[in-house]
Amino acid sequence: MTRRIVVALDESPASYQALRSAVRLAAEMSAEILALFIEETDLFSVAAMPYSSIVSFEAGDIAPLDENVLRRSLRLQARRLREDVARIASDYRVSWQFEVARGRVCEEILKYAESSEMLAIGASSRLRQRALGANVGTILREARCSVLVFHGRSPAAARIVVMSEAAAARQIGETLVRMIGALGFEAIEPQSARDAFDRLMRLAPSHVVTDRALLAKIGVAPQELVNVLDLEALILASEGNP
Amino acid sequence: MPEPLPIEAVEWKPEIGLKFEASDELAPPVGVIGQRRALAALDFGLGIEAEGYNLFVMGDQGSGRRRLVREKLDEIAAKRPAPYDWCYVSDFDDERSPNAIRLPRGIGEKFGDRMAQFVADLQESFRTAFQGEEYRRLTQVIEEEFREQNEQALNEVDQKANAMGLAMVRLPTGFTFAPTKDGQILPPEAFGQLPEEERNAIAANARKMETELQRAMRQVPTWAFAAREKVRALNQRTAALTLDFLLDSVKRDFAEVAEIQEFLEDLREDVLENADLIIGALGSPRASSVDELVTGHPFYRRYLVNLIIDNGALSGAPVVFEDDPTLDRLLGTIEHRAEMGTLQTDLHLIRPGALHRANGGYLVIDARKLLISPASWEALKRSVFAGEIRIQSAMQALGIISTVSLEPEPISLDVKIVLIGDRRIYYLLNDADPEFAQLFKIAVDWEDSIRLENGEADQYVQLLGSMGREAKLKPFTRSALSQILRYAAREAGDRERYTMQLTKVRSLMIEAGHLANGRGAPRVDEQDVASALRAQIDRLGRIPELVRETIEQGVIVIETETSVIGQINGLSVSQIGALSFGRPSRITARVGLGRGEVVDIEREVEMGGPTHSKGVLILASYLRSVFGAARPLSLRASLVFEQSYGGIDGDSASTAETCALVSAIGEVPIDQHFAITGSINQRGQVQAIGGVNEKIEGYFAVCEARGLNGRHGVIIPASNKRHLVLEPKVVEAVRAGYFKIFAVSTVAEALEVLTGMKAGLPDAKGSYPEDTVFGKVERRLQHLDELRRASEPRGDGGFK
Repeated sequence: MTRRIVVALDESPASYQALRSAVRLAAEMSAEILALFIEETDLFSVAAMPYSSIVSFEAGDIAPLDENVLRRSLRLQARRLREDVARIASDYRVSWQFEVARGRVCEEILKYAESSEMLAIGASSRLRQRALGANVGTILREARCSVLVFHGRSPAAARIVVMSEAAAARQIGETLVRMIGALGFEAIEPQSARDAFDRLMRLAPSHVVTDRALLAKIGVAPQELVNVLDLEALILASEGNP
Repeated sequence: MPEPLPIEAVEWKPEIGLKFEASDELAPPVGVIGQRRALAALDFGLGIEAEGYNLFVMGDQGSGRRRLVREKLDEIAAKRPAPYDWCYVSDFDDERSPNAIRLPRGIGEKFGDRMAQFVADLQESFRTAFQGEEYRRLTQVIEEEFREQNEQALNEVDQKANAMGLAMVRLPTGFTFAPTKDGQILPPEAFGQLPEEERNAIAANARKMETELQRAMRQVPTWAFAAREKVRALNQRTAALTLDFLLDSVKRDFAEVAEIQEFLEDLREDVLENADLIIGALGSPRASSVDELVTGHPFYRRYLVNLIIDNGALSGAPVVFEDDPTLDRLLGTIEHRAEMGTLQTDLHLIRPGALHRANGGYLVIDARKLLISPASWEALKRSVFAGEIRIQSAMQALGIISTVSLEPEPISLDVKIVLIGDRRIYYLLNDADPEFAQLFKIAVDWEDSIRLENGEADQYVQLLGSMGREAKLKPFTRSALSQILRYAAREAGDRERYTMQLTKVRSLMIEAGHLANGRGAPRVDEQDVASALRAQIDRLGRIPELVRETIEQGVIVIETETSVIGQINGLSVSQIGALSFGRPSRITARVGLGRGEVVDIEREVEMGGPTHSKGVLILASYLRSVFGAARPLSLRASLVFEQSYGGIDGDSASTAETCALVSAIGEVPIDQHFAITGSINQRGQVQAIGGVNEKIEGYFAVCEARGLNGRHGVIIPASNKRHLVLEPKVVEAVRAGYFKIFAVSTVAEALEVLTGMKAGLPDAKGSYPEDTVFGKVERRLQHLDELRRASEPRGDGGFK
């Protein structure tokens, strides 16, 4: 049976990072990609409210919001994502499917993840997470497959992504790794790094891939991290080895 | 009775004073031969430092003018200082007009190289500065600030909304607010079940939040602008720091040149103004060489220097010979480069012209070539008058092309122009262009031939020796050189002169040398020169031969024996290209009753030129003065050049015509063994003519073909004796007594030779003895007068 990697998508940069990594992994593992776009039912609930309006990103214009407006914009977004999936997957000659599901984001993701080897998602800023109606913590806790979570855009994060992929590729097929939390730091200021670390603690991952320099920055020794989080493995990007 | 010229007068051999066997023993000539006037003018003209003292060197092609001018100029130029370097740099305020900078000699190249290095360094330093961690961190701080500002504003709205029990929900195109319960969005049904006031309150809150969010989001562009401004200010600081470090060292290197300092100041401003563009281009591939820099990004090109005149290697003033004085080559040009289908240019495509290169020195141009190059003459004058070089393309002047172009700042011009041309052009320009005399105040008049005096003959021989060596020819024997001297005299048309048309002489030497090589001889001897000469004549000999053939065949009728009344052999010279050759022409005269007119048939049919007509009028006047003093000439005479179809000019046949006329009037037969040439004046004196050698040789050839019998000969003006440089076979025929040459001073002498009869001297009453030519003419005229009187009705006024 063909192995499958599920990628849950929205238009955030982290989500694209998840897509690209998943495609590269799929190419390596001869797996296929299932790109998932979820029309969150909450959004339709919101749109159904009699008074609802939308404040646009571009100019802050206020316009009435109804189901049709919402559906149209979701369809447009889905089409754009589909095109991108097609483009990125064909670059790596990976076979792919694109599915649009309607429901609660968390539930839908977990449902699709059940019959898959691995799940890749992007964790965005708090506001975006809210939009997904999802909670990365919930998914990490409840998913039965490997989960790759992508954060941020910093070069350190990019390095970590590469290491995560490598680790995931190695572990798959042997013991199924329950979770990999990729710790990326969106900002390099110690305070936000500390926040990210706290977030990671709440996720309770089994594996952590991170950058030694970043750990140093937040004042946590690698061994301490393993102990505190009860990790199965800690992968330090700067050294290139688990 | 006149006597034929003795062989000593006919034969001429050049005198060679120098002792030598062959030309390799000859020393090179000292100085220039026989050009005293030209040399003085040249020295004066080149030495004088004043406006308008440019030179026109006039003389024949191949006379060594150019060579001497070059030697003189090299000599003078070496003593003068080498001029400045010139370069063009960007005018950052007006990119269409690059600035010209004058630099001390040798600084130009240094400056150009230094600026290329500067640009390369600038690129590299900018790369380091703007792609380094430090810069990245600073920009990230700005970006982060902006992002945080952004997020904070949204978060504030979000928190406010939360406090009101609303969630801020992100949709694909914007945000909306939804009521929540227990952290979950309230489903529409549940919302519907709420009491109306509550619903209204929620809706009102949502409205309020929307407005607030809108306010927050409308600040984003302002923040974004502020962030960009911060980045810009950072860029400026970083750029200035990097730039000043590099620029200060360039400034120090050229501290003594104020114009460079000024340029560098402008450059600094420009780099800072365009810092953002330069930073944007940093991502483009690195140039690996200066050339690539120049062709690379326009922002680096504009800081580079176009060194158009580099006199660094020059030791004296420049001497430039421009052989192709087109407008572009004279004034310089602005080239264009095809880019994406359009023609583009910039200051690096400015190319110098001859005036640039000669600036501060001398420019030598061939006058004819200058005049036939469109617009060049006017441009040259304009530049010299204005004292500046303003690059202007002919194409643009005529509006043929209209592309982006430049108006480079004119460069100040200080140059002495030397034009080389023939006399015709000099006099033409003098006549037709009033500015010419103002601009070319010094005429250097080159002698076409030199007089053999003060040892110049010896120098000429030495010159021939040098020419042979320069052409890498084998040495010429003394007799071979003698032949060449004979040729030089013949070309000069005078025994006392040698031609200065040295290219002809050189050609003969080369050809003789070639023949000597062909027979493997160690030296070029007399025979080689003679053969080369014969071959030259033969190569061009088709037409003269054709003419002689037609004479021989009797198609052109020339009698060379017997005696005939009113008929004489004249001699003419035809010129076809480089060749001139002589041939006899039959001239006949007829007389009848009339009123003293001499009809020139050539003129009647407009085949005679003005000089010929003048000759005929003079001879008529001479006849009237000799015979018409006592009574009117009651005759009508006609003169004609038989079988002439091409028209004739010149008065060299006027003696012949006079003799034919006298023969016709006096009914005295003329000995057809003779041919005659010479012009006549009103007193009956025979005057010199041109081409005497060709004429004699032309007639000799005809007689020789028919068989010389010892009675053949030619009559030439006595004043032409000194011009006799005849072909050896003519000389030999004279020596053997087969051919005679008479030199006469008057028509009377000529008539005596031609008729074998005394011409006659008038007695006290002005009458001539009966048994003389003039006596017979007088009798005949008397007779004609009587006839006329008898035929005219009495009372008619007639001739007084």
